[in-house]
Order: sequence, then structure tokens, then C-alpha cells
Amino acid sequence: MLRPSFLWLVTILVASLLPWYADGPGGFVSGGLLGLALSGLAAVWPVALAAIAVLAFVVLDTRASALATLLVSLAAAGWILASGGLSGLPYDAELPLSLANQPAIGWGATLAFFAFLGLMGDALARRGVMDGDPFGTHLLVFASAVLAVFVLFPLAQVFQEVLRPDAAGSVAGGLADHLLGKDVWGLSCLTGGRRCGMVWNSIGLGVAVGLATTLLGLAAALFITRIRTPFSTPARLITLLPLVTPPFVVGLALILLFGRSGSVTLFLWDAFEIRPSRWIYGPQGVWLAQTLGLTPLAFMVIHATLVSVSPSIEEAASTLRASRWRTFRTVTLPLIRPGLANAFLLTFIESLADLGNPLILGGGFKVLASGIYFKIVGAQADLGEAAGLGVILLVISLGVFLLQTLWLRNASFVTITGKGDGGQPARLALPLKAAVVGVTLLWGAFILTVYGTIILGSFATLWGRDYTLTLANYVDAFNVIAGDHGLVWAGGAWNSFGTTLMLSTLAAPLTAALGLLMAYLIARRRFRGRRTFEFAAMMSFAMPGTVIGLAYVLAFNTPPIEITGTAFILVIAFISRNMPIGVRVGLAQFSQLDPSLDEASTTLGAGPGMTLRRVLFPLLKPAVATAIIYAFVASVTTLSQVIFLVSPRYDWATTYIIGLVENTNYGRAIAYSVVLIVLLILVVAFLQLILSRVEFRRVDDKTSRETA
Amino acid sequence: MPKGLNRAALTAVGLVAFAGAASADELVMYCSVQQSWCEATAAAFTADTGVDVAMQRKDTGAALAQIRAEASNPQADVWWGGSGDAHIQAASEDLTEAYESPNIDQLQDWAIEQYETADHKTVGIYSGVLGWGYNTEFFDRMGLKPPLAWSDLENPDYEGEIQVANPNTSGTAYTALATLVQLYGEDEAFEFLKRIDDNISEYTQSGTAGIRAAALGETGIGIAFLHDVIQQAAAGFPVKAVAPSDGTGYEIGSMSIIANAPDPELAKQFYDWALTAKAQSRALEAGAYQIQANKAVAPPPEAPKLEDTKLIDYDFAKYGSAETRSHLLKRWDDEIGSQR
Amino acid sequence: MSEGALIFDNVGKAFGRFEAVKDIAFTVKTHELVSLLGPSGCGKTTVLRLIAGLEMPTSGRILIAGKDVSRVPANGRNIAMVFQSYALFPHMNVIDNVAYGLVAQKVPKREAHERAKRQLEILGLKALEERLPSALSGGQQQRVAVARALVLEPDVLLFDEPLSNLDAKLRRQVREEIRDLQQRLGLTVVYVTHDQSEAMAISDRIIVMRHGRIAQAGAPRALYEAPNSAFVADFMGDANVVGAEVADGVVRLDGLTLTTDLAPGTAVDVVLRPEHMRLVREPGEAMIRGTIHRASYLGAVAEYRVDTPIGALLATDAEHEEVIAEGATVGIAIDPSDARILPRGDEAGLDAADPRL
Repeated sequence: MLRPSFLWLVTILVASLLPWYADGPGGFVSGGLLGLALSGLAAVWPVALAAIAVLAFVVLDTRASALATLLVSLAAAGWILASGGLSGLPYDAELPLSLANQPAIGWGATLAFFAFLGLMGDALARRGVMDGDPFGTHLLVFASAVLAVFVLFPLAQVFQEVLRPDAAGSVAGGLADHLLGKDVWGLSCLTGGRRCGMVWNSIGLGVAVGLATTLLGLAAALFITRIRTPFSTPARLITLLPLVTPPFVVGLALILLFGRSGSVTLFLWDAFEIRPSRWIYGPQGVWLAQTLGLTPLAFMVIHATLVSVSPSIEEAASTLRASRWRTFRTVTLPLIRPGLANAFLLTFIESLADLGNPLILGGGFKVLASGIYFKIVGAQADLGEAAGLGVILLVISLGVFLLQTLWLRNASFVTITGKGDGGQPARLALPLKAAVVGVTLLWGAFILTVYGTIILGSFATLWGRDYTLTLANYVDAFNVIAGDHGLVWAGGAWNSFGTTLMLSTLAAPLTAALGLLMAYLIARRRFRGRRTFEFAAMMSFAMPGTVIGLAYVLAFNTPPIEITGTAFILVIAFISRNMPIGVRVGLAQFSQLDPSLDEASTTLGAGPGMTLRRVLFPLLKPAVATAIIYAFVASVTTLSQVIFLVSPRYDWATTYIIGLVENTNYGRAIAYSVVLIVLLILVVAFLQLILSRVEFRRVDDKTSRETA
Repeated sequence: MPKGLNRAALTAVGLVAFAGAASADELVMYCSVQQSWCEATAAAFTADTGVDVAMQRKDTGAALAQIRAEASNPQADVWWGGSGDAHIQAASEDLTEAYESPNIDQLQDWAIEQYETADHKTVGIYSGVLGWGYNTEFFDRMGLKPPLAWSDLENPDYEGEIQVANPNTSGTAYTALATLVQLYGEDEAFEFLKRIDDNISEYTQSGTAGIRAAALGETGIGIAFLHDVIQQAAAGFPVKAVAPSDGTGYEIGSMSIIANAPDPELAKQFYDWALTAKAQSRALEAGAYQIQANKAVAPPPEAPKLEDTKLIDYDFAKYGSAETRSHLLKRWDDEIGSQR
Repeated sequence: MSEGALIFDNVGKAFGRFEAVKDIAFTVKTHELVSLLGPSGCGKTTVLRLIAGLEMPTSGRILIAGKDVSRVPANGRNIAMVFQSYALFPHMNVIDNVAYGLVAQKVPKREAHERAKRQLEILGLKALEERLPSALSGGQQQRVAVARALVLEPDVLLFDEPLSNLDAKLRRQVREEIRDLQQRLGLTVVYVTHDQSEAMAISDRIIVMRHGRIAQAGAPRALYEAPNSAFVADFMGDANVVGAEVADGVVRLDGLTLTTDLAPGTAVDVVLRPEHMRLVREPGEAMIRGTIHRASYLGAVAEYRVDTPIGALLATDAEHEEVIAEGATVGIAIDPSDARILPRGDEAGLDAADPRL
């Protein structure tokens, strides 16, 4: 059988004819590797030599030559990136091409880079890694490269920025400047000052949001699982609504309700002479908006834990003469404690990462996420301080994430037996029941009010002054006019809307595919460093979007990889940030799939490709759907991740809307948000439909058997 | 090679191709006036010439920061609008490129003066007077006296009622800062800013946010260029424009071509077009009440007459220089911004 | 070595530091059914997976049909395997399941289905072609799994505890079917089980494994009657293993005296099969004395646990008309030729550590 190595070598040959560098400033157009090498550019010689050496090794085909291939290919792949200028210096068209002065990598170098990775994959297989399966080793090499180039490398740039020496050339001084600002750690609010530092603001806000969402989530979960009401289905739907809403849209609705010219505020002023104030602009407002937006997350986690508590355990408690309240307090509550902790930590992380609400509701109240933003956008842009804040935010977030994975993974008491446990869940004690019903209904009413406001606000001529219904806001955003040269998409929203839709559609399946393939490696293959690989794959989940955005700006604005201002950087950012959910869903699904299924396929003569396509993929469909839906929704609704990465050509819906909010153009902002929400609901419903068709087919087969 | 790998490779190549192929013929523009005018201008240019425009609105300071960050790999062709001192700073940092348009002589003297100051690297396209607007409904209901001079802003009745932008991001706010410095002297200006700090609810990012908030009633007073106030009043909001009686500054909104732009030819085409009377006369339709630079375009009747207001002799060269700008902004950050 | 369908040439397999299989060598002849028998964790499943190509050996060579396949992955070996869980693809119907391996080998779909149908017919599953696995009974699923493996006409057919998911009655029937099929079609089969009666019923030869090594290999009867260690004796059916020491050419168990050639002082295990022990109501000379601790009537036989000076012994009795009462004093008589005296191996300590023994 022809080894993949030969195909990769041919790929290098092809790559060496393509333009090696990207088009540079000053009309620079690059030649191919061959031409450059022959013209005496020493910087590319090592790559050419490596290719020739690898050819020799591959022809030799011994175990030792496989090791040599591995090392030389690694060096060559590294050289391609390093020679483009790992120093982060821009290419200067005035100076001649040299080792230190090279433009970003182009088609040729990119393709050659891939080919060297492929050679590494094949060499690993020759070395007997993963029992010599080239499919698995290729997957491992490519996935690791994605993690290294698009997660670890940008992160390293952030740290490098923090370590940049100050004006006096002192690293320690630079560190102090970047990490120890007064507006970062200040505690003056405790001693009567105006504001505390951003770190304390972030942590305080996170804890408050975590507590509130966990309590609300618990109430809603109890309401749905333990109280028989006709409202449980609508209640479920309502709790899930915020999931398809860009987080700051809730904040926007709060302004329309409670802002100085909000409808509730004006009503109170007219009816009770309560002087309008700006209380919504500040920590309270941010807290309220985040609590509303994040409760569904807490709800889902707690709900999942609650339904997996076997009713028979609670029944056992009541047969032991425990009262309902006692059963709840001493049995149910301890059993779901890991779920509660999990909900708290997750919402804490999300609160830390949220940028939109602090931006529009924060007023002078700054948290780390918005602090990074303000350090970057102003004319006094200070990347060092922004990076410092990013590192602090990252450390807090990763710390909580580590806590969550290490501590809670082993803390679950709930056993899922898969056996239909008979029995009824315990009833709740009366006072508890009253509290649960009260809180849930109140919260539900609040959510409905918020969404009512959003819908109404999109049709109101001018919220707070003129409630005449109009379509003007929509027309304003999505206008099309006829010009001398054909249709002009004059509505300001078209550009960002098109980009958002197209790039999310592109990114979602890629994200899901990468995540699930990584899950496949982790769950089904044995190789050294598997745990490290797993951690690296999951890590970006805890990386706040602003930090990713910042890291990407730092890493990809200069050679070797120069992709700022392109669609590529957005897609890559989404993939590396959202892929962990694919990994997580995939791991869960794989753990329920009998490994003998893939082994059976293999012993029947199927290769890994056919096994994935014909056996695993169909059985993983629910996971695939979940991962795609999540990836799509997350990329459409994110703000923090894209805010530094958008460009005039590729604007994003959320950044465009936040710009409108910033300009108090609420009508159009909210109309655009409604379009997004409706779009997301339709997409999610559509994907769910495809998913549930699989389920129906199975049910049909069963019923047909029974009737036969 | 296994089949699965082939597919993965194809997908990757497809993705790269997609990312690369998107650079069709398209003008890329940063725009630093109000959203509606930005969009109207972009659409008008497309309608007149058939060239698609990718436009992103960015506040003046933010646009400058962005252009600076992208200097080694410029993404945009042209920067249209925004107060002139930021454009002058960009010119002094060689972030923008000199261009001599055939349409230069159609412009007012102050526009050409801007053009000369910056060695032809930027040109004035509109001008506007600094001041503020206040919400008349709110003032009536609360029985407050409107502020007529800068010193009136110190009135404790206005606690939490004033919004002004952050000079780091907003050209409007920087103009206000420079105006106060020229009016009072630097130290006294910062003392004044500290005194009114309690009255200021928020330093917004965008220069027009304050006046829009005042129009909606979210705040009592918004410091802004008067054309922005008039725009709100014309749209039916209860705001009234005030040109401070103790003297005020003004801006010369400018336009620059970005150095090493991806498509310099399109940038020049837009530049020429934007100076024509045809293009500038569209401003009013888009609700922009700035005084246009083209001599053939009559100032809007609602616009404040430059001769009726007490204008200071604004030193654009000095306050647009990188040195002064950085110094003032740093001091503002240290003494005002970071105290929040 | 030429006649072996499958040859294990000093094969070892380590997972990190743990050696699951240590230097094993054996040969399976064509048309032979060989069982791998042993407690869980003994390495028998690893051996099966090594044959299948699901694991790669760390040392040694594996030959199938004369070819060295040590480095060939599973999908390149001409084997087929029936899994413990059957591993039927739940989203494919029966015919697609059976045709899967043929399709994987690029057999045109039509022909693959034809051959799958024929295979199903042979196994009497024709009516089930369109069903999904979830709509089949356990026995049917098992047969479909066999059909799916057989259709590939493998050099070696592997079974991994194929009966463990069936109920006791069905188990006997299916194992007979497998044996029948194997003999009819002349298949070469390696069969993993931990159930000695299953292994004995079905096998031409049995390989008993322990701690990653072969403890003993041979025909079922030879293993039962002449185990080479207490472990094999105990694993092959019920056995009383009594520790003792050789003195003057004899081993004494209470009243019972057994002669031996072993040197005096040798520690030995004496293996006494329960069915060889005759219970006598009046204990006599040359017997082991004891009292009945527990008596159970099991239908075909009566089973007794007898407390004796040399420990509790298990005895079965198929002859007595009535069950001896608990508490009665009895003598145990044994024909000395039925007792097997085995020098105690080095692994005595390991035996004690294994909770199953």
C-alpha cells in the first residue's frame, strides 16, 4: 500500500511552486519556494533541505528513519512559522527579503506546513503510535497543531505582552505597570471611595450572579420536575429563551424598562412623583441583566442533576418517616449539591466573560472584560495593560474551571443506571412549594415582560415618547434601494447580517467536526499525553472571549500568520473557542457507545474512515446536532470574542448592534436583535427537526413490529 | 491516503480559499460621523459609482487607534469624518497619505487650511461648533435653570445629569478638552473638569451618545457639537442647543486616505467624489446639520451661524499634534478617567 | 509450523508497565476449536484481541494462515469476531449488518446482499432480514452476529464470551449450535470463555490461562483428569485442594494415606474431586472423618459440606437414596488412584492474593 507520506511529499512539491509568501505591502508578490531558494534566499533553504531529507527517510522506510522524519518535519513546520518572523515584527517592504524580514506566509508555505504535519502523522504511525493507525496519528497531529497555533500561541503572545519591559527597560517594572494598576486592585470602595478595582468588581459581580442564577435555576428546576402544573412546558420554553438571545439584548430591554426614560420609570414618575434616577446604570443593572441571561444555563445543569436523582431514594427516605422538608433537606439537596456547585461555577465563568452588559449598563462600573476593551479602543490604547487585565481574567477563569473539572468530576453522587426506576419524586413541603412557585412565576413574568419589551420596542416609533407602531426600525436596518448601478443594500445591517450568517454557518459544522474528532481521539485511542491533550482541548472553554480576541489581535496582526481583517480570523476564533463543547458532548456520547461497535466494524474489514462514516457518525447524530446548534448559536450571539476582530468588510451583528446602543439608537438595535432571535429560533428548530426524525424512525420500527 | 483525510484536506483548502477570495473590488472605509450619515454616504457612493462600500462606524479616537494598530497591515482605504485633530495626528504619524484632489479648490478656506496644515494628508469636509444640548421637558419639570456658559456646568443641581464622552475615544470630547485648555489654561482646565466630575454621570465612548441620551431624557445635559443637537431637535426631541457664552471651540471634520491602503485607486475615487457639491449636498437629507466644506453647498438654515458664536482661536496644528494630544489624554486618564 | 491456521510465536503484550500477556506460544490447527479459559484478568481476552488485530503485540510474532500479521491492523486480517455484546450496528437492519463486512471489502452492494441473504438462510434467519437489531431477541441477535462474521469466510473465527448475555437454557442450545456449525463448515475457531463447562462442551482443545501465561493446554478430558496445578484443577470443575507435606513416600490426610514418589518434605496440594468422595455413615480406618455441616439436595445429586480435621471438604453423592442429616458423623472414603498429588508451585502466594480462588 502506498504510504500517505508520498502524497504529502508530492504536496510539498506542489506547494513549492505556489507563491510562498502572502502578498505584502508595496505590491510585493512572492515567488515559489523553488524560485526563492534558487535566488539565494537563505531563509527558505532549511525547508527545501528538510523536504529532500524526508524524501530519503521515507524511501528508506525503517523505524529509525521514521523518527528522523518526525523530527525533521517538526523542525521544518516550526521553521516555516518561525522564519516568517516569530518576533512579531512587520515586514518592511523597503528592506530586502531576509531571515529577519519576511512577509506573512502565503499559499505555498501554508500548504507545505500542512504537508509537514502530515508527514509527522505518518511517521508517528510508522513508530507504532496508536498501534500504527495512520488515520489516528494524522488526526492527533492536525488537532494538536490547531491547538498549538490557534490557542496556545496567541495565549503566549498575551503573556509576552505582559512581560514587555517598561520604558526604563525593566521587566519587573513592566510587570508592575501591566498587572498592578490602581484601577485593577484598588479597594477604596470599602473605605468610602468611589470605586473598587476591576478584579474585585468582576469577582463580586460573578459571585452575586452565580448565587442568584443558582437559586433561580433551582427554583425553576424544582417547579418543572416536582410540581404538577399545566405551566411546566411553557415554563421550560421560557427558561430556554435567553439562550438564543445575545446576552446584552436583555440589558437593552432593561434600559427600555428602567432607564431614565424607560416605561416603568416614567410611569412611576407620572403616578407617584418618583424622580427618575440612573440606578440601572451600574453594578445593579449589570447584575440583573446577567442574572436574567444566565439563569437558563444554571437551570439546565440543575435540572439534569435533579431528574437523575432516583425517586426510590426519596421514597426510601419517606418510608423511614422523614417529613417532606426533611427528605428534601437531608436527601435531595445533598444529592444535587454537585449540580448546584457546577451551576454556580459555570455562571460565574460566564459572568466574568460577559462584555456586552457591562458595556451598555456599566456606567462607571468597570469589570475586567470591559476594562480590556477600554484599554484597547481608546486613542491611548495600551496593549500591555490590556494584556495584564487579560492575564488576570484568564487566571481567575481557568482557576475556577480547573476547580470545576478536578473537584466536581469526582463529586457526583448520582448514578445513572439507565434502568427505569419506578416511583414518584417526593412532593415538596408546603412552604418550599410556595416559595418555588412564587419565585418561578415572578421570574417567568419578568422574562415575559423583558421579551414583550423587546418585541414591542422593535415596532415602537420611539420608545418612551411615541409608541405608535411602525416598521421603520426594520426598514432602517434592512433597507434596499435602487441605484444607478443596480440594487444597493442600503440598510446598515446587511453587511454584518450577511457576515454573521455566512461565517456562523461555515464555522458551526467545522467546530462540531473538530470537537467530535478530538473526542474520538480521547475516548477511543490510547496514546501518550492523552490527558494533557484533553485538558488543552477543553481549556479554551474557560478562556473569556475578550482574552481570545485580544490574543488574536496580538498574534495574527504580523507575520508569520497575518489574518486580521479577514473572515478567516473570525472563523478560526469561533472554532477554537467553541470546539470544547463538541469535545464535551462527544465524550459523553462516546462513553455510552459500546467500543465493540467500532471494533466490530474494524474486524469486519472497515477502515477508520468507513467506521466513522457508517457506524459512529450515525450513532453520534444527537451529539453532532447538539454541537452544531451550540456552535452556531454561540458564534451568532457572541460579542466579546469578535469585538476586536471585526473589520469593515466583516462586521458582526452583535458589534453592530452594540454600536447602535452606544449611539442610543435603541429602536434599530432592538429590531435587529429581534431578527437575530427569530433567526436563531428557526435554525435551532430546523436542526432539532432533522435530529428528531432519526428518533421517529426508530419508534416507527418498533410499532410496526408490534402490529405485525 | 485514507479517504477521511482527503476530505479534511479539501475542507481546509476550501476554507482558506473562501477567506482569500473575499477581497473583491470594494472600498473599505472607517467612518466617524453619526451612523445614519455614514450609511447614507456609503449608499450614495455605491449608487453613484457602482463601487461597493464596506463601512464601519468608529468613534474618532477608536478609529485612530485602529488605524495605528493596523499600520503594518492596513485594512481600510479611507477614513471619512471625525474631528480634525485626530486626522492631523494620524498625518503626523504618517498613518495617512498625501493626495491632491482636483476638487480641492471647490472648498472653503478653513477646509483648505486644514489640508495645508497636514501637508495634504487630510482635508476638511465639514465644520461644527462645540456646545451642548439640554432636555427642555426635564428642565421644566424639575424647575432647573439651563446652563448657558461653561462655568454654569458646575451648578450642583446638575449632579449626575451631564454626559460627555471619553476624549480617548471621542473626537467631540477631545475638542471639548482642548477648548477648555485653550480657554482656561491647562491646569485650571483640569481643575474645572474635576469640579464638574460629580455632575457627570458617565464618560461615554461615542461623542454623540450624550446628546442622544439627553434627547431621550436619559440624561439632562449632553455635551456635543451643535449640529448633533440640532439634528435631535429637528427629529422632534425636546432638546435645545446652547453655544457657551464664555467662548467655545469648533471642529473641522476631516477625511484622509490611509497609507498603504489595500486599494488606493478606490480611495482616491471616493476622496474626489466626497468633495463634490453633489455628495456634500446629500448631508442634509441624511439629517446631518454640519456646515459643508464645498462652497457650492449652502449651510443648513438651522445650523448655528459661525459669526453669532464667540469662537476661540482654535490652534489645530498644536492640539492636533501627537505630542499635545498624548499629553492631554494621558493627564485626563490619570486625573479623571482612572479616578472613576 | 506449517499446518497451523494460527500461530502465536512467543507473543507478549504490555500496557504501559502492566504485562497483560507474557511470552505466550501456541498453535491452533485448521478446523480446530480451541477455547481460551481463565478467570477475568488472566489475559485471555487480550490474546483474542491480539489475534483480531485490535491490539498490537509488544513482542513476538502472530501468524495467520502462514502469514506474519503482527503489524497488520484488524481491517487487514482475514479474521472475524463475534463480540460479547454482539456489537450489532443498531441503526442498520439485519441484512445491512451482515453485508457490512463485504461492503467494506468493496464487494458490489448487490452481490454483498446476495451473499448476506444466503448466510442468513443457512442460520435460519431469513425472515428477519429487514428488522433492526433492537427488534430481535437475544438469541437472534447472537445468530446475526455469527452470520455477520461467517459471511466473510475468515481464516479464523473468534468468539468473545458469546453466550454470557443469554439465559441459562438458551446458552446450552446455542453452544451446541456453534459446535455443530463449526464441525459442519470445518471452521477454525478461537473461543474465549470463563465458564469451564462451556469450554469442555465445545472445545477440541482448551488453553487455561492465568496471570498472562498459559497454565495448561490440552484436550478437555486431559485437563480435568490430569491437571498440572491446583489452579487448573480448581478451575476445571469443582475440586477440594488440600495442602499437605510428603513424609516417607506418603501423604497423610487424616486416616487416608496416599503413596507418592516425591521427596520427603515436599509441600504438595492434593486434589480431591467431590464426586470421588464416598460418604460412609460409620467412619472406618483409612478414611477422613468428619461431620456434615450443611447438606443440600440438588436433584441429580446431594451436595455436602463436611467439616474434617483437614478443613471443610465438598462432596457430592449421586447414589444415596436419602440425604444424610446435618450434624451426622461420617467417614470419607477415596480410591487413592482418584486423588492427584501435585507439588506446590511457586505461585502459591499469588493464589492466595487472588480473591477468586
